[in-house]
Amino acid sequence: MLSVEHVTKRYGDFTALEDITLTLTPGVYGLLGPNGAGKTTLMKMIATLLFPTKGQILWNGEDIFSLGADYRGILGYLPQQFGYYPGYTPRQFLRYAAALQGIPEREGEKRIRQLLTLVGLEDKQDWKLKKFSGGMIQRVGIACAILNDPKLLVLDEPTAGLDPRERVRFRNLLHSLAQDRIVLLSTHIVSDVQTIADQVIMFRNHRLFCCDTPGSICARFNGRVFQVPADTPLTAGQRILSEAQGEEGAVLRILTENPPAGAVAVQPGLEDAFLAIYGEE
Amino acid sequence: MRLIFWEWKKLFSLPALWGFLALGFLLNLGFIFGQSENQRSIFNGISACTAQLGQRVDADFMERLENLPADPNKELIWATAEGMEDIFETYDTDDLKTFYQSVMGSSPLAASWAGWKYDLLSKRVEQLAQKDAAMDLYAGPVTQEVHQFLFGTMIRSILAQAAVAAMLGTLYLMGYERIHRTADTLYTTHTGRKLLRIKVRAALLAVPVLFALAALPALAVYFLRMDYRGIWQASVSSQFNYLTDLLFSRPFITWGDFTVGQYLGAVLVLGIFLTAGFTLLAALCGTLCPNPYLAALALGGFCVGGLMAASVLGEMHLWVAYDLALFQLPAVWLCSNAWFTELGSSAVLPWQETVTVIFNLLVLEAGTAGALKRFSRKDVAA
Repeated sequence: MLSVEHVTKRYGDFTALEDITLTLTPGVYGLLGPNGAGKTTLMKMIATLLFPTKGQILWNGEDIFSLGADYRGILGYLPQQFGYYPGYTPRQFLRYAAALQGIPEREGEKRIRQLLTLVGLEDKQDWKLKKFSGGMIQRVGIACAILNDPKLLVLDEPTAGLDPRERVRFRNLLHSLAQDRIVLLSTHIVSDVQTIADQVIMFRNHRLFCCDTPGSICARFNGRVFQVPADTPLTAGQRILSEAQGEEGAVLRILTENPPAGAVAVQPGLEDAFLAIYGEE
Repeated sequence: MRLIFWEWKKLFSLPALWGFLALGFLLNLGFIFGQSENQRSIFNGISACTAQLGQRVDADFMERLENLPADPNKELIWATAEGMEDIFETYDTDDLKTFYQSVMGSSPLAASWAGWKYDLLSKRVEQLAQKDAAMDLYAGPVTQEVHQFLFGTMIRSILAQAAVAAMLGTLYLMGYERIHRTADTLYTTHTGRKLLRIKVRAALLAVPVLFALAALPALAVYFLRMDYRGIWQASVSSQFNYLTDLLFSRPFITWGDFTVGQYLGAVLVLGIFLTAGFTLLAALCGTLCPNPYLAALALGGFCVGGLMAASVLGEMHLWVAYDLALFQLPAVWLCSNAWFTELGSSAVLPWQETVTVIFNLLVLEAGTAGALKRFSRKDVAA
């Protein structure tokens, strides 16, 4: 179990995160928030790259910074920008990562073979990484993050750069990984969170706004999201969430307590909730 | 050891390192082939003779020399060795003491240090006199030029190349993860930020290899051209070997007994430790300054600035500060032509080059350990 207890992170006068308290048990947690909300800061603190200014982060009741290597041994982390050595092949890079993880060589070889197959790079294992596309590099990053079979997997924008087919493959992979471990991921792709996450964590004004299931978050907006033709005149209290192309032309999804005439009530999705919560920021 | 291997792989697959070492080798070749042919011919001739005669000039030596068939080398050695006397029996270090005390007259403390050093040296001169070290021929009339070429030009160049290669290699390793943006991934592994400690270890273990890469090819070419068979056993304190500091000449008086072979060995060993010192200095800069380019600037500034500071202090006759400023690695490199001697104005202690290297290794080791500890407790910069 991972507990984030009253964690604050400040850089001089700037507060990146204020008094965050969370308890994470096995399952998939999606972090949502606009740019600069503090998602990456929280993930970096959980990954021990940043130290909290206040508060503490506990793994099974022990401070993660005191646990040191024992904690990092159960941690898998994919940073927002996965760096790599261009002159290495994915196999070489993973061998190096395995050495850093303290995985014995023979065991590491077996694990690397499995992972390269899992991420669909088995036929490119001897290519230099400099020849890889962004999506392929991201797949190497994912393999690297799960190399040590982590109990806690922290993924910062893992689907960035992946094409739709790769994203589906990744979602499936994540489902299979999430059985008995904590997976914390952040993404800008709300549909990914809706599909993958058991719980969604949202920040607002650098504070925790909510931590709930996608269904519960969407339910907060039940009866307040409507679809209207794009040329419908809107009045005060009627906020546009998004615009889309419907079968009969452009349509707007709006958030309101007082729908205009002709508005059709729709089931709010997580994207509607996201836009409703952050729309005015 | 497995992780050291990976760090070495990064280091030794750097083309710039090999390019630098190759350029250094070319420079050394330039020195070697720029050497006077006449000097080389005399040296090799004397060496061929002393391989048969031995180095110590005494009655037996002169008798054996007389029995050699006539040739120009025999004549040269005869002319050189005839009437040789042990200069250390009458040598008085008071001249040196008086000279340096007058130079440092503005600072009584520094002058007293110089006096103390030359009093110690007078005892060493007595030992050398007892051992007749001055009676070794070495390379006769070309001794000083050849000795200074090997230890003043070649070794100094090799030391500089090894030190620069080691420093740049260390900075490269320390900054490698930042350059490749892999720090976040690697510092969250089981090894974590201890990776930086492993890099320092890898850099230190690479020192003998880098030193060998800088030294061996150049020395191999040098010793292929220069025949040292009859020279290795000569004492470096032969009366034909001498030093000049502040225009004041003095015999090559070492604090210990050294043959040419032993002296070369000792210089190479100290050279490896000196290179290790520069490596630790680079590791310290690389740990304190995550940007490898800024770290390189800081390191360059430290090395050049330190030498300049010592020079300015000397010019300003601030002799105590000058003496203290000599306890730095670049100053040790600069006087490599006279290591293990009294070093003139470049030292206040016997064996100062050795003391300085050990002192710097200890200080830099502690400094690097402190910097690594600090690094383990600070945020990893993006």
